[in-house]
Amino acid sequence: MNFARRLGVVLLAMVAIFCIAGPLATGREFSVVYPDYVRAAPSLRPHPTAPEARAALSRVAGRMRVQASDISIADGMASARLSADIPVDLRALVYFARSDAFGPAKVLESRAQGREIEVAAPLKRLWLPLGADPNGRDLLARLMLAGRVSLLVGVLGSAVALGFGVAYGMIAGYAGGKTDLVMMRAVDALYALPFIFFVILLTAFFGRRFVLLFVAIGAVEWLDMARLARGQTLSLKSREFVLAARSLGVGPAAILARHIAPNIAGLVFAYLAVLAPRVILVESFLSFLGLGVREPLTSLGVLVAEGARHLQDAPWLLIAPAALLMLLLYGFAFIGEDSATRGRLR
Amino acid sequence: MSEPLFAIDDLSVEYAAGTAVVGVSLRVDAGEAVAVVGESGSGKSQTLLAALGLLDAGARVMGSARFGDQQLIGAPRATLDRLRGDRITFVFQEPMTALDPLVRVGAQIAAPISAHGGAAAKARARALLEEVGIAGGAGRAGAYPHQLSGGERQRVMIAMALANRPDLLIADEPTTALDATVQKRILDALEERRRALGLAMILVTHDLRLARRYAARVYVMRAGRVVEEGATAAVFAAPREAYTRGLIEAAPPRAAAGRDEQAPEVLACDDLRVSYERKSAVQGVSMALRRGRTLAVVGESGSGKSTLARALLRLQPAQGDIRWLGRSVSRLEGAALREARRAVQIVFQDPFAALSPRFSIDDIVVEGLRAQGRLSAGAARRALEAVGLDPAFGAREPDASSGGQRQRVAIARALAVEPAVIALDEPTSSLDRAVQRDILELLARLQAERGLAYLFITHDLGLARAFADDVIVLKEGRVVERGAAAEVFARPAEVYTRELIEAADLGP
Repeated sequence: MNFARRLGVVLLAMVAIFCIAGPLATGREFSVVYPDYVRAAPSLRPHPTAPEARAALSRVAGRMRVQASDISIADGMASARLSADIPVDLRALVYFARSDAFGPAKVLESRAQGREIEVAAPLKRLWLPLGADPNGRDLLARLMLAGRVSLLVGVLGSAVALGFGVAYGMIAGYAGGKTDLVMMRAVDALYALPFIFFVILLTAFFGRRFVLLFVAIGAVEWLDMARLARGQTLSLKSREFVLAARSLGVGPAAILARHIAPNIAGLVFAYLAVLAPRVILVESFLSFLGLGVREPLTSLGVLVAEGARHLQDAPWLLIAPAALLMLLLYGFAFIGEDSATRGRLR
Repeated sequence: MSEPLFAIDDLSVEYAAGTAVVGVSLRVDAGEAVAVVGESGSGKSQTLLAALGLLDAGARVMGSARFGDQQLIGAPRATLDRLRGDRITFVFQEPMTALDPLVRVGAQIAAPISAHGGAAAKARARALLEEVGIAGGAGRAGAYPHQLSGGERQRVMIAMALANRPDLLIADEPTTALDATVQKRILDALEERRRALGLAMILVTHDLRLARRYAARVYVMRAGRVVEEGATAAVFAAPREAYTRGLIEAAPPRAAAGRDEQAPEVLACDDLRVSYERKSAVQGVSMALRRGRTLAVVGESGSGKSTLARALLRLQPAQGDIRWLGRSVSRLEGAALREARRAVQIVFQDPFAALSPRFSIDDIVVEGLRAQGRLSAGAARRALEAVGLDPAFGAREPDASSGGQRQRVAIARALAVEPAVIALDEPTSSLDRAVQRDILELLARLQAERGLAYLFITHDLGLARAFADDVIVLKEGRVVERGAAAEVFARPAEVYTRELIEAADLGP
């Protein structure tokens, strides 16, 4: 195994572990909204920070229809004096616990018939290492989900293309003659179809569904696979071990399955490493256009699109998903390059 | 004794995997022709490549190799580069791959001349083309390699090797890839130039007939060692080593004669035609093969021998009537054809290409039975025993076996379905002499035991003469001569047949 290939495998393994095992480690839901932390910047310190706590406390006070003063944030506790014209309704203290910043509040002291109270509430500690998106959702959790979706699309989309394309190409190549001609002209005709138009039609008819993505991507990518498999089959079918099998009376299905398929497997798998990142890229492109997966699901393409819209004020929203996409593509590319080279050599 | 031009002394080559050459010594005097002979893998090429620093970094070379008074082992690259291609030149086996397909041959010949400071390189290149006897002479300088035949390409290689008037030419299996008739003409041309230029030559070959004709002295190599050396005439007259005797006597076994000429027809065709795209490869061949007999099909490469065999087996679309066991099969298709196929089987030339990779030997051998739903326990064992292989061998994969073993596996696979005819498409051409004889003996024994008929495709007329009852001679897809083998070889009626026979008998 050469260096590039090893690097590719390591990269892919890292991305896969990050995306699949990551959520177990953080235990965070990708769909939870933290209204207090909309577009929070990436930070290694837990939220809320002192200014955020102050702002959050003011908002809580606003909801309780009281004035907050003497706000102090220290040692994981926030305390403040709340005052109002009428006695403070203590039931309204639940607003503290409902916010993302505080735990349940306690009344330390009550003065002026309850028109002025001293309250203290523990600060929640919430880490958002990559910040939060414009809806206040944890970007790290979103990123892991997006990575999972993209990997799934990459693997399943390629598998659809692989299964159908290889079978189609092998049959066309082995049958030869008119069958081959008709089958391959059909492939040429499909090549001529504008891809985006095709996808828009699909979504228009069937709505935006996850399965449709695989159909759309598979429907386009199998064409290359079919050509590849056909070419290989053409050259293999006149090889002597295939002729020997034919003269022994082995039927076409068995020859394809036993003699031809195993011998094109190497090249096909090499090509798979080239195909998977392309499928991921296509999915990202579709999602970028808004034709991909639907909220609250997300994919790297969606995240990149969203990030691009906030490039001015929140560049990290673009940087993180773009970096993950890049790592994923590099991983596949390194593996694919290497195996494609060796496929050619053989 | 005068100072030798080129002397290898106690040379060894070691790889991590093992030793390739052990303590070989040989010498060539100026103007002398020497042959190094041995079977493939005997270390012939390795010795010479090592002496000239052409092995890759994985090899450890020890000993001495001197050219004049220059020590070559361990010499700096620049020194070797000055010698190689100038004082010492090479002709390799593969004329197809040794030339750059995108450069005109005249320019390719001129390249080494200008690289070593010669003047008027182009004119010299054209003169060289004349000297090596290319048809059309200097006029062909503008041709690309693909426009030349294999023989012409090899002549170009020789012209390149002679371009700088070297002192020593190393020809490594220079004509092995060529037809016998072409082989002889090219080596004659080379020999003529060699004498004219007073050039020394080392001829590396597995073919003793070539050594005998073109070399004054011969070194016989086996398993990395020189086992016998001496003047060619002496070695051939009285070989000391059993190994050398084996190489010299590797004449094929005589098949049983006097077989029934009226036996039923098992394989026949009338007016068989095969054409690719626009070219027709087989043009109206009729033949019949009877039970228990051997029909040899001979001719040069490209004469349509293999295509004929494949068409007869319905592996290749063809026009004309084909009969297996007296029954016309030209119109059979699908399952009916598959059912009929067991009557005729085929064994190919290259046992490495003919066995499906990734199968175990057992699986390969019983594939036909499995396809016909007749697979029974012990079938693989019986098939392997029939061809003289250890049944335990069946668990292995073909990669782990030698060429001879693989060819036996291919024969076992064909035999397993109990055919009446086996087409043998150059079944021994890619094997070493000794192995070749084993396989032929096996085939003869199987024929005697089972009454098999063989369609024996070969370019080796010696083999055809020894092995076949009848022979047909193909030229450009047509039968030019046919008859009983003894008759045809004794009294060839056609010029073409005579040429083939003469080219095959290179001996004195």
